[in-house]
Amino acid sequence: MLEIVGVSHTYANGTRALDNVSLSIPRGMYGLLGPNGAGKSTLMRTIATLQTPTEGAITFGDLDILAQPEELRKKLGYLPQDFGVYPRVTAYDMLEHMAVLKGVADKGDRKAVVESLLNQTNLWNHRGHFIAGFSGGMRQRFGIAQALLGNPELIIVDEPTAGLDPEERNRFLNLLAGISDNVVIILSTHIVDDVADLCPRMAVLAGGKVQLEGAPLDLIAQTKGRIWKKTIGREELDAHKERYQVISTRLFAGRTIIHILADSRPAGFDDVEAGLEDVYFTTLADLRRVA
Amino acid sequence: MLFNVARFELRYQLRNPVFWVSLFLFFLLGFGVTASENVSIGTPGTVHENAPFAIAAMTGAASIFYLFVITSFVANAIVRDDTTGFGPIVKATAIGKRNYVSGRFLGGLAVALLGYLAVPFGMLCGSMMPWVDPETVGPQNPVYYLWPYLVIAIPNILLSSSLLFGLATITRSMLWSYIGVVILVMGYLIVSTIFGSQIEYRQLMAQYEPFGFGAISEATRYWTAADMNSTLLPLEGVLLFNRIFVIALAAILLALTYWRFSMAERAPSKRRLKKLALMQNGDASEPTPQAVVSSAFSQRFDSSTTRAQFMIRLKTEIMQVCAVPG
Repeated sequence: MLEIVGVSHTYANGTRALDNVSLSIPRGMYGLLGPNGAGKSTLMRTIATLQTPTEGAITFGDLDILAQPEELRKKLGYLPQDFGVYPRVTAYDMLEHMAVLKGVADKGDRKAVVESLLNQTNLWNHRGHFIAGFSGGMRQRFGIAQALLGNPELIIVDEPTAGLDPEERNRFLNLLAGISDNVVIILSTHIVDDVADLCPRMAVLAGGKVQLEGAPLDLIAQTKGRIWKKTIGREELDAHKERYQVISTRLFAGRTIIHILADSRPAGFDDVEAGLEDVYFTTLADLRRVA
Repeated sequence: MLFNVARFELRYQLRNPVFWVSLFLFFLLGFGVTASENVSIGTPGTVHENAPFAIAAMTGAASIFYLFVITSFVANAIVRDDTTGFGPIVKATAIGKRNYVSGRFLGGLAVALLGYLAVPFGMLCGSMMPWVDPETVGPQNPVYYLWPYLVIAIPNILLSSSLLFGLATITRSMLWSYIGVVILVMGYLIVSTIFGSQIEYRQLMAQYEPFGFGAISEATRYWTAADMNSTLLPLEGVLLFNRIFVIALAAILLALTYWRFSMAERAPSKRRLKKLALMQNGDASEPTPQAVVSSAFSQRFDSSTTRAQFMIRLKTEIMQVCAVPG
């Protein structure tokens, strides 16, 4: 549905944020996973027609979005990463205004749409408050409310759960999960669980390049029998790093749990039920080794 | 949609405290001129406080000061999206460049025009104060207030707004817009002081001086005090030419702004990319940091620490102000 072909972008200060990115994104939820600074936001902003890439082509259905950005904007819902809001405007007024911009011309329709979205995002009781005074979670919910306005066919949400507390994050992901399957939703995030919880397809972006693409379950299956874990003390870590290909280290009750990549089980290591996080860290570890 | 964008802008700015403060200040300005015998703008003693000529002169003069206020309305209308960080959300909607730019401008302009009504209103109130000598007040006539507002204030504010809107669109910064205004006002005062006093430039000044003072003084050169007390500015000859020139100039500035404005951030040019590629080839090796953190350093909290803390804050503040303009 959304085809990204050979997209590269270099900023005026010389940063090469995207390097020949090609992705084919079907309807449904699509996870774009990557560390901070991987180029995710640049890609999201480019798809949202907020900036033109230095190279490449992007089409949505039959629509060439670089040639006709106006047409895409009619079908787009976009929640940017850390957006701000105008001071002295209430949630209701701002959403009403956004509805006008999204082409909901009829006053009655607008009222219905705004009220139902405020309700859906649990902001109804705060509709008369200034958005500038909202907490992070409330502001994100306002953000998704405006992104959902006007039945978009393409929804882009950029790092929506960063900085939310676990309860708010859950609430937010539930909102996303409730969106129709007929819509293309791109969820960009650095949080592996966001993707694991929601997305039937995903890609890993790092260093401006696509490192990995596929269905999370397939990707996890590929690492089966190659990931092993061991609980060690902090002082043993360096020695293990030298001997094995350590892909992740995690602290648990003061001890360090390491996951390593190996084709057969080394002595002292246990089986581990590999998760998406292992896939992600394996990809990043490979990348670091090459560098 | 255009109407809705402009209306949102208008309503938004009406909640802005700057609007109400400026309303109050410009009311006082108008009020002071008519309510006090000691304050007058270029009118001889026998001219009434509320004479049509006095009102016209004041309406023109206050519009220069009003430039600073307009910056807050009009420049804010376009810079706000960048400074608040709400811009990406708005620009990703189907608003379109035409509605975005013209809606914001018209809303900002409407606020500016509305706020400036404080000047004639202040003059009206001032001339009705009980302590004003009735000898110095002529008959009240609403047309005396409205006509200069229409002929002098509206074109002046249109030009100022277009100019600031353009400045803000290109610089994307309130601070630079304010700096632009200061430079413009200074330049204007210098140029008009130098040329205004020379007779051979009188005609030129009357035609092209953007606030219309030259044109007003040219149109009323041979007026008696009785004329000043009873005659509206004739919208003909050099004054008409000047007003049309001002409106045309505003239109050109708006067209330029519209042309320069882009909804999407453009990719760097091919030439720039080539230059960047060349620069990156010359990268030298980076120094490596000390790997091991030594815990041998000591911490002290005495008067020399206080001095060092003060100096480093001072340095940071100075660098912030000097190096980052806005």
